[in-house]
Amino acid sequence: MTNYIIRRFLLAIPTLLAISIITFFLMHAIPGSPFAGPEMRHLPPEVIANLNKYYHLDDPIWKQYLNYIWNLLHGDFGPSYANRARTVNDIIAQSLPASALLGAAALFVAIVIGIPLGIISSLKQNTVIDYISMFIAITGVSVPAMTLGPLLVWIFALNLKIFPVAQWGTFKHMVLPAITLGFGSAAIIARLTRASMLQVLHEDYIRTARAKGLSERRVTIHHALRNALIPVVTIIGPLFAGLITGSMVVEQVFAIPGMGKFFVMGVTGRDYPVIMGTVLLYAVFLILANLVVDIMYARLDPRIRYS
Amino acid sequence: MHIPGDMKTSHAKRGVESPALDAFRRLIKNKLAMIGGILILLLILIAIFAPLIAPKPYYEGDLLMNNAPPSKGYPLGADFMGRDLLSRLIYGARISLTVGFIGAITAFLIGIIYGTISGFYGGKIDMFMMRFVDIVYAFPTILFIILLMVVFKTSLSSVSKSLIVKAFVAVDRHFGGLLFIMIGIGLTSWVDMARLSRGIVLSLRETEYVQAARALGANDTRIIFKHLLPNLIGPCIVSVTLRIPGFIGTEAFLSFIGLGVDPPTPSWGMMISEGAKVLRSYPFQAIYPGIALAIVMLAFNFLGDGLRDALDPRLKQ
Repeated sequence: MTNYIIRRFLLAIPTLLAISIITFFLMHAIPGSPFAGPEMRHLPPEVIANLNKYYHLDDPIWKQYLNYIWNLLHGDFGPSYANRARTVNDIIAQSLPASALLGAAALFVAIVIGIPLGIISSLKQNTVIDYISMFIAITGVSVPAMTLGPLLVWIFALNLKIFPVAQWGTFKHMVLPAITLGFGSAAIIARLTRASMLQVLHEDYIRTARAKGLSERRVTIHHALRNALIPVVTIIGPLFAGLITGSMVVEQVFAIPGMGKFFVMGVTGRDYPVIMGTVLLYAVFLILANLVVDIMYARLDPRIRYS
Repeated sequence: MHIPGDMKTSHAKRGVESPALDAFRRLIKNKLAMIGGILILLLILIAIFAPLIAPKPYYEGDLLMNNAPPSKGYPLGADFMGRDLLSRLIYGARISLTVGFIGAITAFLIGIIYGTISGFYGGKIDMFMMRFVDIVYAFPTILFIILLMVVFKTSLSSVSKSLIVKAFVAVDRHFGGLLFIMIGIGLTSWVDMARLSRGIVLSLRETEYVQAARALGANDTRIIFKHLLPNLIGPCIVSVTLRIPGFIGTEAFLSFIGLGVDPPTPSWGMMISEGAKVLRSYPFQAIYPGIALAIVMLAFNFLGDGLRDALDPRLKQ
């Protein structure tokens, strides 16, 4: 197992390298330079040439790339061209905690709503409860964060005044954004849990467990759920990717000072180091999420052995 | 609905219920799928006849009416530029549906062709083709599309002197920025479909009826078109229908973060992002397009679920 984890970590390196190369070269494939925007138009060409020189943008592209990677290995994400008072390290240090907290809260919402909803509807299959929860689930899959966010704000912040409209900081500020971001994932988890539970509940060992006289509660939790959760765990990795894009929307709707804003601003403002930094961070999170999922997979199902 | 014509007639002649007809019957009985199908038809009609239905033009407004509440001339009110929200919503259906269908068609065509070739010829070709798919798969799709959009959008038009690029940019302008969104989606959407069809072809290739056909002297083309493709179509249609909401969501997301359509094209995603800026004062500017977006996605999900149950009754519990 340890070997497997180490190997997966080593495998992540070429993937990250590939992502960094593609991103870097795609970024630079755009003609022009970061200092060619409309607000720079009044600058004399000498100044722009100096700016390009200062940021080494006049070097050959492979040299710029190697330079970037070299600095990265020393923990330096480089300067931000647009926010000249801050480096990308500063930006990440300021905005990552909010984004990470939002993502974790959303994942928590997804699991805490999704799994019980799926279990209940599988136990009450083809009853009104089942239909209602599955209707909630199919709705949740189809209602994107950009629909749910404004709706929740309108209901809970503007009309009922239970939660604040926007901003970030206290627990109360977190509730609506976390639900907005996590609801879609909750729906996917609920549907998958239900399908998986229904399959497991028809297995022979469930009948055996019941025949042994175990309580329904014990059969459900220890015998059925444990096995039913295996496919559910695998979906959490891909869901994580959805959370990242969703977080860009949620951060904008709720005015949360997260990384999404910087990524979008970096992309539109051609702030190369900001784009690289955020893309690489997102990629690291994705790879880590997939690794954690694979490890949990092995923990839940002893038949799976990584060697 | 999705019945291959020749299958239907040839079976009907012999008086046998064709599997496709059978599936169609099951689909009609599924209420949710029918609701989804009817909603989609309605939306298509709205999109086609948008100029006749919309009370006002989507691109210009009355600045005296900016952020106006619903009134006689403006059934749902007006946005920050005084443009009629209802008219923009109606025209927005065009954007979402176009992106959804074009995404589906490219995924379907490229994916099936790629997957079938890879699965059918196997060996080194398969190895090579699937490695490429793995690489595309490993790259976070949405990041890739975002980067492509940046390459397409920013200053490509102003700097490039190539005639082809200029032509693309001109077409893109004409369609309000839709072309590049569709290229971005098309370049990434086929991967799942390729994997799915390759898997099916791999297993079908070894079935007895395909071997029998080969023993009777059928060539590759005949086997692929007569024996493999008809069996591929079903699962691929289901998969593609269920992925349409994803394509629509991608467009809305891109337009939301400002990398999608060009203003004043009324994309629902862009309307939500504009509405989100005035959420506190005029929440409905973001809620109406949000609901429209959710309805489209819901309709395709209902239809896709129904299609899956209808085409593969074994899956239904």
